[in-house]
Amino acid sequence: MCDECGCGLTTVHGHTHAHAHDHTHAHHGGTTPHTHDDERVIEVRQSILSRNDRLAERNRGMFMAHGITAVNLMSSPGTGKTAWLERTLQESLDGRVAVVTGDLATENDAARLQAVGVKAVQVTTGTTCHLDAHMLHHALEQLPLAELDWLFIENVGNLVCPASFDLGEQLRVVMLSVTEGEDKPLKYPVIFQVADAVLITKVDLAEAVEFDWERAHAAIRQVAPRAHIIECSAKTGAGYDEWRHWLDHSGGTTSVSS
Amino acid sequence: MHEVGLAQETLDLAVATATQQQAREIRCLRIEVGQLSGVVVEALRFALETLAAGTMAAAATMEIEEIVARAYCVACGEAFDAMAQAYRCPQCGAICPDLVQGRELRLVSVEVI
Repeated sequence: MCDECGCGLTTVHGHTHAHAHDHTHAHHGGTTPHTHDDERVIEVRQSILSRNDRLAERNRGMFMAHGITAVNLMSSPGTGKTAWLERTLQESLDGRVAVVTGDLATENDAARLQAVGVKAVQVTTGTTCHLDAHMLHHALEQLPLAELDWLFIENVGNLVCPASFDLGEQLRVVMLSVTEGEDKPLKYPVIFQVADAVLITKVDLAEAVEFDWERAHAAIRQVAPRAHIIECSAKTGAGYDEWRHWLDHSGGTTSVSS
Repeated sequence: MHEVGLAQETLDLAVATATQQQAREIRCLRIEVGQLSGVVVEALRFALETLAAGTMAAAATMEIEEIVARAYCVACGEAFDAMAQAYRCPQCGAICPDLVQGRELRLVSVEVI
């Protein structure tokens, strides 16, 4: 069938021609004459995320110029990103650290982190389900980059969308709490696949929820075979030393000082 | 949820390209979406069709091709279906997390008049 007008003929019109042409359809017997003038295909072959990726490169350049290691923390809501950051920032990092935290609404997370004495910028995304490189760029304008060695980016709680948006960070950390179920990595492979480290949080609750460690590790291994796995608890401090060691030895430009 | 933003980026890119080429109307957008791009094809299509209203792409067909995620085993020199094989090379059993395709999110071409 004719793709263009559904006239039933097998004639292929020149709609894939790269050059301009005009012709009238004679096969309609003159009853419905029309022209296909100048139909052409323009090759684009460009990433839909190219605008974000360009901005991410700019952020990456700023981090490199200032010797900052940027860590993007991603998880579903309630996994304990803020609690783990509070623990991380209370224990160490010497003040040369800041946090950018994203949520749809409220400044609660930034307030919690400021309470432990850290510079924190809240990005409220409105209805947007992730942070993108542009939002991060504007958050960075509010931070004294020359005074920082570390930047933690607490992404919007969401296991889907943040995976698609490069922010310019060096390290990606995906968190999974024992209360969420061992097969979460299999259900959300896209985000786990980009992880440099996977943190299993709230391990102090593991026994109560009968968490199956073997299944969880197998699920992570299956979608993120290279990711470093750390079992941790913000409440007890379990896993903290391993986390710091990992941060120190994972491509960071400076070491974490205690 | 982020398909709306991505659809807007896609349309902006398509309209800018078509305008630059002095086209009057966009007839078709051809888009590639990788299996591990994090984008739901039907949500993207819905967003594209909704956002295209009132633009030069209002009547455009949205042709979206899904690209299967394929991993590559360096030892065997073979690419394989990453999701079906869980990144495990069907020949030698090694875990191969490097993808050769499957994360695409690309406007391939626009058909215009």
